[in-house]
Amino acid sequence: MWAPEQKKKGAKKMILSMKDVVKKYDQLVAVDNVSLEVKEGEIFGLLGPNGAGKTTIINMIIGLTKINSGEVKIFGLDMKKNEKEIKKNIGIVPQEIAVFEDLTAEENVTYFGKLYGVKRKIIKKEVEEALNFVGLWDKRKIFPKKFSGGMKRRLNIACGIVHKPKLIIMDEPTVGIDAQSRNLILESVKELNKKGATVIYTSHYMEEVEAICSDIVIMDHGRIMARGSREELKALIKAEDRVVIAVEEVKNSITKKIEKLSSVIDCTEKNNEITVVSEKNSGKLGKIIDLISNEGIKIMSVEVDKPTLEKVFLTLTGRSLRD
Amino acid sequence: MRILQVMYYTLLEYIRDKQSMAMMVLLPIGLIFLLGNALSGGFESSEVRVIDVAFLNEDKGEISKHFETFLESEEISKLLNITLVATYEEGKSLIEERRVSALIHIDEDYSKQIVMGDEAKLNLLFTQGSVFTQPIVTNIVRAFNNEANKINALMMIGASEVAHLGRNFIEEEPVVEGGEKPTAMGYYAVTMLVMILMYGSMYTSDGIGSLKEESTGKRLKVSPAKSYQIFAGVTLASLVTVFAQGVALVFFTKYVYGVNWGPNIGITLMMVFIMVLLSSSIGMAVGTLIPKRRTTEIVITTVVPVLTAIAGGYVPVGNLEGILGKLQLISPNYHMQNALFNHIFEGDPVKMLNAIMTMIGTTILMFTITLIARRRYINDSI
Ligand SMILES: Nc1ncnc2c1ncn2[C@@H]1O[C@H](COP(=O)(O)OP(=O)(O)OP(=O)(O)O)[C@@H](O)[C@H]1O
Ligand SMILES: [Mg+2]
Repeated sequence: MWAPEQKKKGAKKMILSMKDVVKKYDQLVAVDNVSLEVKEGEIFGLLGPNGAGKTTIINMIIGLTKINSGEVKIFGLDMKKNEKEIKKNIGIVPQEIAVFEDLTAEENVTYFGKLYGVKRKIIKKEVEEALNFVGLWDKRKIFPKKFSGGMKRRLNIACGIVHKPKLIIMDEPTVGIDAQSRNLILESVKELNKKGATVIYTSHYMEEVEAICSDIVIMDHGRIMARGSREELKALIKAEDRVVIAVEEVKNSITKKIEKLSSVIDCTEKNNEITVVSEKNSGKLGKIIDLISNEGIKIMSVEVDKPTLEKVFLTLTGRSLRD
Repeated sequence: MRILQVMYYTLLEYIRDKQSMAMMVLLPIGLIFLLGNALSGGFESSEVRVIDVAFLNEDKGEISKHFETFLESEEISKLLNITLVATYEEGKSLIEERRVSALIHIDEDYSKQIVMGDEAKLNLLFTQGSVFTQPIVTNIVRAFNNEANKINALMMIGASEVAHLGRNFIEEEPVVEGGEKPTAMGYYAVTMLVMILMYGSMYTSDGIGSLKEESTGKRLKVSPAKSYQIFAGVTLASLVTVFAQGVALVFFTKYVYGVNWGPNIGITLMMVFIMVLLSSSIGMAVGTLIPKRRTTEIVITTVVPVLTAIAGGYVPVGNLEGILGKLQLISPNYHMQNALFNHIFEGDPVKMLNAIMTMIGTTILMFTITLIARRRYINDSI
């Protein structure tokens, strides 16, 4: 069902395309002319602060909210004409936890599995797999009202993936849970993607999107501020490269020598740490390392200082992500 | 298939909802006993003594306002003479001076507690040795408190009134022309069953409300199940639940209280089924027409006691005249009771059939209203 065979063919299928989509709530333009594309096999990150319009976009994709104008196609199909076909292949993990409190974990997952058309013969196995996947198989007989927040979040995920959808949409699945549960969820998203699912993942945590998403859209006030691969986005603000090289001992006025290399802008030393600032993508790192070793200086570690998406956002909007 | 899946899991939820189960099954069992037995003859005197009561409302919320209205109602003012006080001290001194027999005190967090789902209490303070007044005041206050926690108040009011009227009143008046006379227990078994079935409409309206408002409802909506399948599944689950509760009540009262349910229990149960159809269709219409789930709850908990009262559910009223008579004809309880009484006590078969036809007609009407309203609602959202 995850159709990994298409992946091998090379030509990546379009999973989702939105064209000039607008959503207004009275005066408020919640989504303002958004166009985006998600291709098969991606983990697509939708990043933005509270009220950016992430959930609204998702609701428009899955048909929970009417769009005012524009066009949405999923698997190349139109929701109005191919509703059942589309819905069967989407797994949704809503921002607001949506599990039945009076049904056990197992019953919840079975219920959604059945609604999504998992065959009677395999439903038991699939439910077990989904619950195992989120680490709740041992707790299958327990009612969610007795679960912790993190466990509820994980059950919320299990309900959305039990039918092995082609497209999994997760709306801030890690909100309000501890770091351990959060890592578990992030790992599982990568795992699902490896198994062939395309994932749309929204968050306002920079680190998360940075850690798992291959393609990212940053939005604010209903508008797309930036888009591209993780690297492309970072490149947006990255005018220079910065490398920190820790050595055993600084000698032979090595910093002067490094500074003389072309495209190196600056080289400083402090506590046996040499910091080299060079022009963007100059590819001088190898030369610098050679130079240091040739002087007989022992290198302890090399660290490339990566700009974070947090900085990208700051550059784009002039404010920090979580304010 | 999907209809059955939705129905099955919704049913599981309903069965596990102990609070609603208790209200729908245990409450009427208790009330039938109380109304039909324990209270009748409890007060021999037909003279109603008015009790002087001080009332202090410090609640900052809305719910206690209902209590005030409730105290001002005609039934209550026949029983209680209310003196408003501004402070607790003032109320206490009235008690000490024996100018009132009791102080009803609502503290400032009363509404908040109810809204939060905590158990909220009205405080009562009595003069010493008020053996006679204490149970009446307690009963009234508890009645209201129950309603605030979803159980209706007027039943208990009915209870105290009936207490004054005594059991004979019922036994002297045949409920069906030419038929047998019911016992008090038999009378209330029918009216309380009917009332509970009417309350059952809340299962349907609430089920529909949760589809609209709860996150789980939205999740169901984006599943491949069609919206009519979800709607039908939830409605059928309500229908089955309420029917099962009705049947349980019939059998319990039949075998434990020895209530007469008529010459043919099969027909009785079929009538119960038709009534469940009617109440569910009412719940459906209310749940679809009224946007907010909370409002549907308020509407049903407010209207059902009125419909019950006007049909003689708490105190037999016979056939009313004038405007009240017209209102009586609107009350589904009236027709439900008519159908049952005419069957059980072998009254007029034409009247019984008429009542049944009225119920079926109303069901169809409610269903049609629902379909029309749903089309509008669906077009509005998606
Ligand atoms: N049903 C609605 N009625 C009116 N306004 C709405 C509605 N739903 C969302 N909005 C508004 O649309 C904007 C976008 O909301 P949305 O929920 O999509 O943001 P979000 O990016 O998901 O935020 P968060 O990170 O808090 O979940 C907000 O300003 C919000 O107030
Ligand atoms: Mg959101």
